[in-house]
Amino acid sequence: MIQFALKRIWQSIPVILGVIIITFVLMYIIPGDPVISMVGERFDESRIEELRNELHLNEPLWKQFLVYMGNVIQGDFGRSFITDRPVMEDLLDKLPNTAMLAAAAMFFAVLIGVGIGIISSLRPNTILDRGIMIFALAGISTPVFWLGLMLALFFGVYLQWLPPTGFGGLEYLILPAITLGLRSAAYLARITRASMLDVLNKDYIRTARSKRLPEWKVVLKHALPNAFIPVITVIGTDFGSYLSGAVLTESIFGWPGIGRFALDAILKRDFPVIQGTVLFMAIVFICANLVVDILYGVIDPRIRAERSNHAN
Amino acid sequence: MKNIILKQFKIILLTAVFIFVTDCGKRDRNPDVLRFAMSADIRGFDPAFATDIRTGKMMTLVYDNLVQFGDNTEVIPGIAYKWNLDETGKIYTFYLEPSAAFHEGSKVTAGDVIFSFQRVLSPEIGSPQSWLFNKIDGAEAYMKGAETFVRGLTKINDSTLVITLNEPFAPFIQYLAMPSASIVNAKHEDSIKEIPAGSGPWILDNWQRDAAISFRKNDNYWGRKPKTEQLSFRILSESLSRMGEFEAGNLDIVDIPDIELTRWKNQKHWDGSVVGKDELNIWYIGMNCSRPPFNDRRLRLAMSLAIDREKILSILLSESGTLAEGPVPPQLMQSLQNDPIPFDPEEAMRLLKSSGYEHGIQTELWVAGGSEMFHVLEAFQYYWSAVGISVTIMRSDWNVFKTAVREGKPDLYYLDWFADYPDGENFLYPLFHSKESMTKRNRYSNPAVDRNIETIQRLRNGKERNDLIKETHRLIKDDAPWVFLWHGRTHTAVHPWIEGYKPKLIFNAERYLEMHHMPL
Amino acid sequence: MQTKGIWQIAWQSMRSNAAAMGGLFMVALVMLLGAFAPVIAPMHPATQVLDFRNVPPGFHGKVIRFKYAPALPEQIEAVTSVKKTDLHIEFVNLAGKARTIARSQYISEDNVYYLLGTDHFGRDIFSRIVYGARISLIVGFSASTISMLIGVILGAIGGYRESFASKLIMRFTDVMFGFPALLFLIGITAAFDPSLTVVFLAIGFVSWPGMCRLMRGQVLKVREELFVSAAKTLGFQSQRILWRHILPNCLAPILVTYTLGIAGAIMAEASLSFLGLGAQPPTPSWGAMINNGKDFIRTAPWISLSPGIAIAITVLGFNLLGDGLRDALDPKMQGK
Repeated sequence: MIQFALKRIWQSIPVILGVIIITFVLMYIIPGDPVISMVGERFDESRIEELRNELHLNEPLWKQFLVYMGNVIQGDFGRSFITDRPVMEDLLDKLPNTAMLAAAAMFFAVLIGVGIGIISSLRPNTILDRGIMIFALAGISTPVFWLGLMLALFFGVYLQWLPPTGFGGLEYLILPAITLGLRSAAYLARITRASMLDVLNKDYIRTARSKRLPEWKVVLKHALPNAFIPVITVIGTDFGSYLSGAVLTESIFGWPGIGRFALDAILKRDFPVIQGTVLFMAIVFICANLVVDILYGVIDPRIRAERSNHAN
Repeated sequence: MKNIILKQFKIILLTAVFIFVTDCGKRDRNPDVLRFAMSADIRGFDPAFATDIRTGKMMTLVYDNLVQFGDNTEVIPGIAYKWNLDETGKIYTFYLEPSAAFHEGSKVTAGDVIFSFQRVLSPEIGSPQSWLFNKIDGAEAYMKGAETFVRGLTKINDSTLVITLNEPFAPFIQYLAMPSASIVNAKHEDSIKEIPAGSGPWILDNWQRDAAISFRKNDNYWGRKPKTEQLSFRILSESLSRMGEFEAGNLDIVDIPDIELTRWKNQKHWDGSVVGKDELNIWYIGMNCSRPPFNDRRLRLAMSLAIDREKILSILLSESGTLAEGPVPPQLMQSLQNDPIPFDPEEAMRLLKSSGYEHGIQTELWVAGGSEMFHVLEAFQYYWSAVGISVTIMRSDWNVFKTAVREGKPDLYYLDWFADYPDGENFLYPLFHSKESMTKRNRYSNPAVDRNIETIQRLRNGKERNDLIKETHRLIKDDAPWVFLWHGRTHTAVHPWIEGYKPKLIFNAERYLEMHHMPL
Repeated sequence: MQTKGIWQIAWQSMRSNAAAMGGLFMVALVMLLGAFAPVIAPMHPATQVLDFRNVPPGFHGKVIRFKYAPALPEQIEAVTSVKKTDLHIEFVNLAGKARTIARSQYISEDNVYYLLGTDHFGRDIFSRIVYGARISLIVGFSASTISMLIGVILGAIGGYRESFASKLIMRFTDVMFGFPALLFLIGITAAFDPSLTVVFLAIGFVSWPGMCRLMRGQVLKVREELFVSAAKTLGFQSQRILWRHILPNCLAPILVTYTLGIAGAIMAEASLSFLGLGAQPPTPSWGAMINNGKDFIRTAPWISLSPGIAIAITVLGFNLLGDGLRDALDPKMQGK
């Protein structure tokens, strides 16, 4: 078991290295001089050259890369060109916000998704079931940014139950969490239903039923735990991708998390921040998948996780 | 039987919703705190790097300057309670307030002022704002490292300071009121990015990156003390959240986006809460004057004639501005005959024809990503297309945009200019003097304009200088190096429980000394 | 041939699947909108009538249509009254200002009806949605095609034989999976001057790993099956075996992934355009329309409302269709 875990961890190292290389090359292609953002409207030409030298921007790419790799290994992700803050510090500042949103979104997704998935599976092929499944697919097909906007409009502007967007106490968390969690909820509903249907047809459930156990006991004690394996995969990978930042949701709601931080950095050409966040996100994402994989190995060694990360 | 599960599930769901909703009670208003919103975070508290308006606004709260801006165009005493300029126009003597002290208690002396100014010039600090002080005698030598101190900065005693310039330079006194001329406490310089080392009326309480900044009143402030205890600035990037928070009573004052202006003006509820103020700025479309097609004045004029700026201003921007006739805002020129270029598409087409472009032009208009008022550009694009000028809008990031403009790459670009200090010179030299325009902007050069600007920089305030500013303004208008769009007017909504709010002409004149909650 | 039989069975199964037929209907509807956009849309998608800015759905207005010159685009202006003489047309606009144009410039007097209201430039939202269907479909199909080509080729190489190349490909796929997909897309599009071409190329180049893994899995599975070994003993070249025998057998899952890929690409384009990194103005991209309406969400919510519904219907259509195809083509499901 430990061997399997170690092997998976070992395998993910080249992946992280690949992520760093691709990000680095991408940085190089991006046009625009980052130094311009550091100087004001009335700058001196000579100052610009000085700054470029200071930041090693005039050195060849491979040299910049080696310097960067050396620093990363020492845990130094560099400093923002714009605020001059260590990228790591900023990331750690933002991680709790992102984690909070991710947890709330996942809570909502599991509550709704697994719930309606079970309901659906208990009445397969009824109108209720069909309705729920089409609703779930509609949830997957709705653009996150549009949904967020409409929720903000309805609950924030018309009903004024919640602040439309922004960051603050718990009440600010609800709309973004629903927005972010809806896709997972829809996905979980589909997976839960399929998995439950599978399990409910198994012999041991029939046995349990024939023993005249109460139905809720059959479902909750016998069927659900067995149906949960694929559900856990979805929860794990989605949670991983939430933790690595929900770019769209965070930017609509002005949520100061990692996703918006990364988007801002890309739009401002803040190279060290882009490199740092992408690396950070990739590590978080890969780790989440790793945990899922290992969990999987624990629960059921036969099954392999095969799911792509979707946009959120 | 299955129903039980459904029921249980419904109960869980309802409880969760209930917990969420009951938690959403509104917070009580604390009369000791003034609550504001900002659209993005500031860069830090180092005045040497305060290049943007947002950061500049924060500098003025925690730092003092030798002099500062008043409500309008005047310069009023700061740390220097008195100053004079000798008859050569080159030597300033400043007398410093003896009671002025930094936040940690030590006195502000002439030595601190010299330290702060040298710091901005110092090659090690690498401040982009060194242009503020490079007219001081010996500054160039110091910047090159040839000398270890700046000759022109002389301390007579702890409370008397003499600054000698290379040549007479009228705007210098206003430079001293800008954020980057803040006086810094040498002892706390090392942590200055995070913790301000100043002597201002406010002390930084807490800075939560990308979320909030709060200040508390400096109880030992040497000058006029603020009338309220605390300031809180929340960073809310979306205008939707700023408006929502204001309406919910969680903010005391907020800037209204142009697009919502009509809504606010039409609502009875907000009558008397909306305050408008003209700002010292200009929005414009720069045209590259040194190469075809826009090296032809007729074509540049056609660009202006083809668009109905008045209609765009009134419909798209809800009148939140005044039509610009040339570069200098009307507040900075004593009398003014307002005579903007009209909307005349037929004339624009005639000019296109006479300059040999009767089959139209194809060109690009560059704009930086998040610029405000961005949404008017598609209207320009449409107006131009009507007369055969096909313009592609190139939206790019701020850095890419600025690099491109500096290199003279775009034929057309959309940009604004906000005054650093309230003087017509600030709308002439940095924008139209060939030394600046040919290397950083739209490659405009007119020797007569250059000569005028240089004279304006030397002359002391007075009628002669004003007339020259007006004349230069007209010269530039006739050359049409830009499509002059408008001077902005911002609107601010203030809750009725706030007293003492007065709009200021220059952004860093606002120190929140007078504003406070009405007693409960 | 045997494959024909499979497709026929699949079609029958599709026809009895209401959800799949619903999906097909939605997709067909959007395609028709896109194909006949100039006929369906009452106005050109870029035409602005500033006086009718932000008017709600169902608004009527009196306008005059004219052109400054025959080669130039049509202008529409809101009017209160129009006076015609032999040489000139004089009209008064909503601000009360009179303007005169030459008789030759005049086209018509008209009453316009805005089914879905107008946006902040007074552009007809319905017309923009109709033209926007073209953008979404072009990006959806081309991006999904690119990612299919890359994925199928790399997956086939990766699965056909154990080699250095195949290992490298699978590692690269892992790396691609390691990236947060949307962020990667944002990074690529931000690196170039934004345009529709950049968008679909970027989406295509980012979204192939799923197809690649699928293809590899299929190739591995089919490779083991008997008839390939049989073909091998008959002496076919490996290339030919790959393309002639394995590929047709993988067609069903590829088709399903391709269809779902279109849905994904449309969504990705909308997301990028929403962030301002996609199609540039005045291109009527649905995502960009939602972004434009974002600032007016309190004052004119209809600007963002309908393009969102358009995206949802289109994506849902392709998703339903893809799901239906999977059910119809998956032998496991047929057994049930």
